[in-house]
Amino acid sequence: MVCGEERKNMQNRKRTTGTLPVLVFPLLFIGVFFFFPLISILREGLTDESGRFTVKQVLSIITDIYYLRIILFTVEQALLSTIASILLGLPGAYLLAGYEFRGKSIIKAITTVPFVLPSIIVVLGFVIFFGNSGILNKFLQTAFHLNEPPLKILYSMKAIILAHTFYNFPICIRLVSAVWSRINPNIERAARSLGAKGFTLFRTAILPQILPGILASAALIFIFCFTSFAVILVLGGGPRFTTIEVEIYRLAKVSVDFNRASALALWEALFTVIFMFVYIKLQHRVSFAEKVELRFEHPRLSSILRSAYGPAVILYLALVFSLIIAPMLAAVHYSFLEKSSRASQFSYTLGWYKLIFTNARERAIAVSYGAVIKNSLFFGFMTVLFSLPVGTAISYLTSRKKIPFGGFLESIAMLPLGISTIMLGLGYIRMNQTFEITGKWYAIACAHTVIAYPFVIRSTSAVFRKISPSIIKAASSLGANRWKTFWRIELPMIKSGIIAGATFAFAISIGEINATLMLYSPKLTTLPIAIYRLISSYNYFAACALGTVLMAICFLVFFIIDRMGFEIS
Amino acid sequence: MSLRLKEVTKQYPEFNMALSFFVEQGKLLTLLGPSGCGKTTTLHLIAGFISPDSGDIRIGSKSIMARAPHERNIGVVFQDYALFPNLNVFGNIAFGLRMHGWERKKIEQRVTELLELIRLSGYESRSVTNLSGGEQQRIALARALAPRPRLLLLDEPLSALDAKLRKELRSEIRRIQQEVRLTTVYVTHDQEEALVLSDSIAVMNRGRIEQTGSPYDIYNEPQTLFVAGFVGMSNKIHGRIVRAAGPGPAEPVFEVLTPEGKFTVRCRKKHASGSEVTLVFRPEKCTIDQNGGSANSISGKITTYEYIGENMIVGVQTKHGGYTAKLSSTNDIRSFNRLGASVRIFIPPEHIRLLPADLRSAE
Repeated sequence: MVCGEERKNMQNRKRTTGTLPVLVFPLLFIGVFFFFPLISILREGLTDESGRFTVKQVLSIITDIYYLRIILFTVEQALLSTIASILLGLPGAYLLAGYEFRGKSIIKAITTVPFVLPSIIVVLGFVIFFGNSGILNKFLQTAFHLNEPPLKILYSMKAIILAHTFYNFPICIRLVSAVWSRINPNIERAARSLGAKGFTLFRTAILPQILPGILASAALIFIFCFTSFAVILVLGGGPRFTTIEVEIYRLAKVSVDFNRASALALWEALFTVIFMFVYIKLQHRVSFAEKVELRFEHPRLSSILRSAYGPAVILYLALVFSLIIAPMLAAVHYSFLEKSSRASQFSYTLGWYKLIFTNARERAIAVSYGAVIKNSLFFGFMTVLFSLPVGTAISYLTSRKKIPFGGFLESIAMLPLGISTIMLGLGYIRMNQTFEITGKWYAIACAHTVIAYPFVIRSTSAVFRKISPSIIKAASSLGANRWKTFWRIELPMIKSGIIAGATFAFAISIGEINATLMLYSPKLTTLPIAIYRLISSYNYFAACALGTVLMAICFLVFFIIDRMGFEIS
Repeated sequence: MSLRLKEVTKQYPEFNMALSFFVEQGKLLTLLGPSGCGKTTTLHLIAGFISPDSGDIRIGSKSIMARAPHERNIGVVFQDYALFPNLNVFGNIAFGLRMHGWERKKIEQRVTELLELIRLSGYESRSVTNLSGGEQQRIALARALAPRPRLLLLDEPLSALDAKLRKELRSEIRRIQQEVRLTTVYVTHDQEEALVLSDSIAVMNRGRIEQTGSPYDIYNEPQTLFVAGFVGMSNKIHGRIVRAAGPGPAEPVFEVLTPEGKFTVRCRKKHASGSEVTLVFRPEKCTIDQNGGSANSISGKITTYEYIGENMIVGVQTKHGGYTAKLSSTNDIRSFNRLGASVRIFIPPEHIRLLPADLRSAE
């Protein structure tokens, strides 16, 4: 008995000593590069010049009509964008959930585009397509012989909401159709047999089941729009169309008023934490429904196309398709054009791409095009290199080992998902008082890692959970020792998760603009920043060329993740 | 190789396990019991996934206690099959052979041979995730058998399959086990499966073995109320022995006084006069008729009847309790499908078992 007790104790000790080093590295990283910057902001926002605690700065934000207006505008545009995205997305969710048709998987795949497409590409496509001298206006001008561009929507509320809708309505399609397609058709039949029909049928039998999905996707879209940065920075602008994020950026980089920036950031953090909480609560209700996994037969799409609703459905599909694809295609098309200086005629050229391979550089950016791409790739690889060990270690501990406070550790580790990236950048700048890191490559790499590693946790913990304990036991009963089991069974099984995690991390790094814009030095210009600077200096052709390169990288990434069979959301 | 567990113990919050049993070379022992009784834990102790607090486990004459699971060469088939999803059928079956350092040629031969044995020839390059449940189950069996283990452990291998397939596969497992002449421990909570498959059955309850014996003995000579209650249907009456003398020394005759009347019981086991006992009898050993009599019978009213084709199960209620009888003659089935009819159940003396009275519930 005593001997058994001792052995058990020894096993326990061995287990804890085994996890400790695995635990230390990620915790240290998250501590230094996530929590420390946040604390720096907290300190900055809550102390005065002499270092004494005060809430004066925080209170001065909400008593100042200027900031109140900014906060209100942020909420307003997010709310309108969310409503527009949901309204545009719901019919798509219905079609995707209720009907079978060829190419359904492609449509499904397209709905994941917003999750991997960098915001600066959305902005670029938007300007090229909807801009005053954009393709849509050009087309309308030629078609109707107008002298003035008929659609003037750039730099307005309309532009912001339209861009956000384009960016986010696929989220609604994706999440709601996932919930909708799981609804047991027998419930609808039961309601019918009990006398429900028409709208009553929808309201009583269907809506209650998809409502959690709608609310969850609405909450997610709201958070995205609330913290949206690049779209507002380019398409909004001016004091009238400034959101909290853009104002923090302006305060930190233009006014260099870190007290105000920090105080405003604290308010934003409070808001996002509340919204995140709501979203997580709603999501739990959705995932509850997820447990019943049934597949149902669906009618073919042609059945509705032939019905009276046919034209409406076709119109909707055309609208959706053009809204997602057209701006991107427009940007790609533009990258092959140039304008000879005298006649305002376009001609085709590969010149913008050739520039990538020369040492040429634009006035708007400090380094050559080639160096910009090299910078982006470098940060992408660094982010993969850093975020893989951090994310994999955490997901291994929380999903494979039974460690105390595992759930707590996981929620702490997922916190970066809920913190705006502008705020993270601000935190790094404030950290500068202790470590000199802004303008250094590793500041950007670490910021990207903090943003990316929660996605590594997600994709790897999904595969870690798939390995049932009996698989490990089976391997050992067949003669494999611990090392061989890991090498031959566990590693091949988690490989797909690690590759997906790495690709995610890479995609996030390569498209990131918020924190990068806060931290970069001219020599470290990345693709999104170069595109932003080129748009600002009206060099749309070069912007589109770099944008096409960025899009190509993102689609490659997207393709890899899709092939790995992972859900992107 | 034979398997012996000698006073193996393991403490758990719910109960303390204490096990001793022996399986002869080439025989199949079934551990039968309700879920949570420690069956799977017993398998894991043998396979080495958990280690006991004390006791010894021997294969043949050698103790395997000091060996890690991967050094024991024991084949295990898991309830969820635990096939390696990253490997195809060939890779799964060959896994153990590779771990044991077999040559490539011999591995190929062995896999082909095993696929023949489980009747899935030609499946080598299929992905295991696309196989049906029954096919996965057979691949799991082939994988466990591949390295010629000294012992085979099967943990509820059929529980995830539907009833028809279950019946098919259990005879398949039995056929293969007898063909290979492999010492096997089989875990199930399905009594029918246990009765059909086993050379011997060990009925487990709360970490202990209640009774070990041949399927016939387990069914016909239950030694404890738990076994009588768990394996098959049984009726119980509490009683006291009033006369423990009999004419024949081989099968003594007892007279037992119960609330339902006096019973004559012919039973091999010895019981002292005056001792409290429980009379146990099977529903199918009863006969039924209308007029009330006295000896070895219970009089009551029919409260339920279930017609299930070849026979009918009748529930009879008395003042003291409820009993069931299984009727198989067409005449009986026709006459007694009436609720509320007064009937008499008769139990022949040789079909009543006497078990020590136990206040612990058997259910």
